[in-house]
Amino acid sequence: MNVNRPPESAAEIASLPAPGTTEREAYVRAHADRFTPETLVFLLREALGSGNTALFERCAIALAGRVGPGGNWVGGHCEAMVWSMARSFGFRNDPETLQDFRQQCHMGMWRAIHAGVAEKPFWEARFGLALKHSCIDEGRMLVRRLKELEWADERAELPEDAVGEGEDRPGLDAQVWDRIVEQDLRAAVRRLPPRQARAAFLTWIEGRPVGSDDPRSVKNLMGVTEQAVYALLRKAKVTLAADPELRKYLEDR
Amino acid sequence: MMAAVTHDARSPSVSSMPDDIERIKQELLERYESGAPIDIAAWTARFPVYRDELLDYWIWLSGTPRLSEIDKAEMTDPDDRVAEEAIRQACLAVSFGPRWLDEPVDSDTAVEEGLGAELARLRATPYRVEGNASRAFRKAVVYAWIVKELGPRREKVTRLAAQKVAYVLERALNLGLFIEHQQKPLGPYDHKARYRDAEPIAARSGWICVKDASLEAGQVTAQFAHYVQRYIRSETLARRLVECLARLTDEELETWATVSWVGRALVSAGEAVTVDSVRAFLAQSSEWRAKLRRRGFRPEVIAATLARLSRLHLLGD
Repeated sequence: MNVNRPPESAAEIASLPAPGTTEREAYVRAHADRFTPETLVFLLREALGSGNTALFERCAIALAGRVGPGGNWVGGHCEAMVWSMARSFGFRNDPETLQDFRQQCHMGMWRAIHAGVAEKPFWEARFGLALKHSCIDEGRMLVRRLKELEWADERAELPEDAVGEGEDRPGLDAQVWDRIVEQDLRAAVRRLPPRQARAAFLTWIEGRPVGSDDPRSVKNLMGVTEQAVYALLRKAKVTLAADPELRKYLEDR
Repeated sequence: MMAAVTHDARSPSVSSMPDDIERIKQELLERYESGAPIDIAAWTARFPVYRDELLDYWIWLSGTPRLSEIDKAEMTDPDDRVAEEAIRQACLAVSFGPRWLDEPVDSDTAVEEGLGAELARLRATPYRVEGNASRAFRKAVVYAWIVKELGPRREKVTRLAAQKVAYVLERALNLGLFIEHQQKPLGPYDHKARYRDAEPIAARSGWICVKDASLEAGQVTAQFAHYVQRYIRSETLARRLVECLARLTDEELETWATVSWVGRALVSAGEAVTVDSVRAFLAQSSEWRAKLRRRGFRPEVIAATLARLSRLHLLGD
């Protein structure tokens, strides 16, 4: 399998003692904490292939980090990414969701490593991007799982008269809208049912025209009518107004 | 002299190949990380088959910190055991195999979600009918195949079951065959299939036996199997869907087909598919109004049906 490794990782692998030797294992044990994550994934898969659990564990700790002698978390190449993505997705406001997300990210990474280089070569070529990609997938799955019933309920609870135009519709008013921090809005949009999320994201975050004939307009990007986009946007406003994370903006009025 | 660079940095460069969505998303991620401007419209235009998936991925990717912006000092609480526990499981999987890391899931939900995604992908790919056979003949083949597949999985295959499964199969696979269903008291019903094409042709050909309101599989030849391969797009996916539908009672099949019909009508009108909107649609239909008094169309039953149809991507969303 020809993997396009980063030069530093390729050099590290080239400098390893011969495969299958005790020198190689000793060298890896001694230097694992200094290897790039791509090299560690390569070595983890090698240890997996030979059933060497002890060496696998040594490389796994180098990849994920560990509690240091001072009681603080040291080393590793994963936690900063996972925590950073959790913040970006708005998962850090709820301890249970945060815990689920972190667990899924770590397990997703280990599943990918166990899947092998033929199936998941990206992890040995661009570890950081592969982990980020995995975090995005896990975040999407988590929200879908948490919201599946709510999305079904939300369909039922949406008052149909909210579809009509009017000042008294139960959405967010302009002043509240303007105060919402973009990151909170992005996170809330990601929690919307898929079609509402697409309409809301393209219109309110990317600022695309809704109904123009431009191929980049929201209606053309989504492949629906202009009226359908506006209907989705109206429903999205209602859903967002009920979002617990956006209520702080309503309560601050 | 160097050739002029005409590639738009906001556009994708990977080739379009089936099942390449992961690679396309990875390139989108790499492009994002490079800091180059991205117009997602260029990507969806290039890969229209994956439009919804690309849009959804972009919604999650856009606005995230780039690798170079991530605060490396941000570390976990040392009392937190998530990473350690994951390592422990990964080490156990060295001995027990990768299945050790599989998540315990609600099998029905996972199976339906997986099937729904595959059906959606299949529908998104272009389809051209093989051969010169008439639609009536092709309907008869698929109808007989449905009876053959349902037979071992149900006590008996009623005409109602065959009709409703044909309707749902058409929605799932876009066969272009069962497209003349009408609103009848027991749900979508194809009058022609009963009297003019599918059933009479299948019976005459010996592929099915009609016994009052029940149907039984007849003689299945190699030629018949060849026809099925030609007309059903993916026999594997179709069979997986039929296995799922075969577990439903006739009454549930009526609910499924009816709610699927209504959902499609609502989506076409740009309206949300909700329990309330489905019931409102039924209330406005002279043919279907009476269903609202029946157990199979109570709000909680419609909600559960919507959830399953949604997982199977059969609501047009």
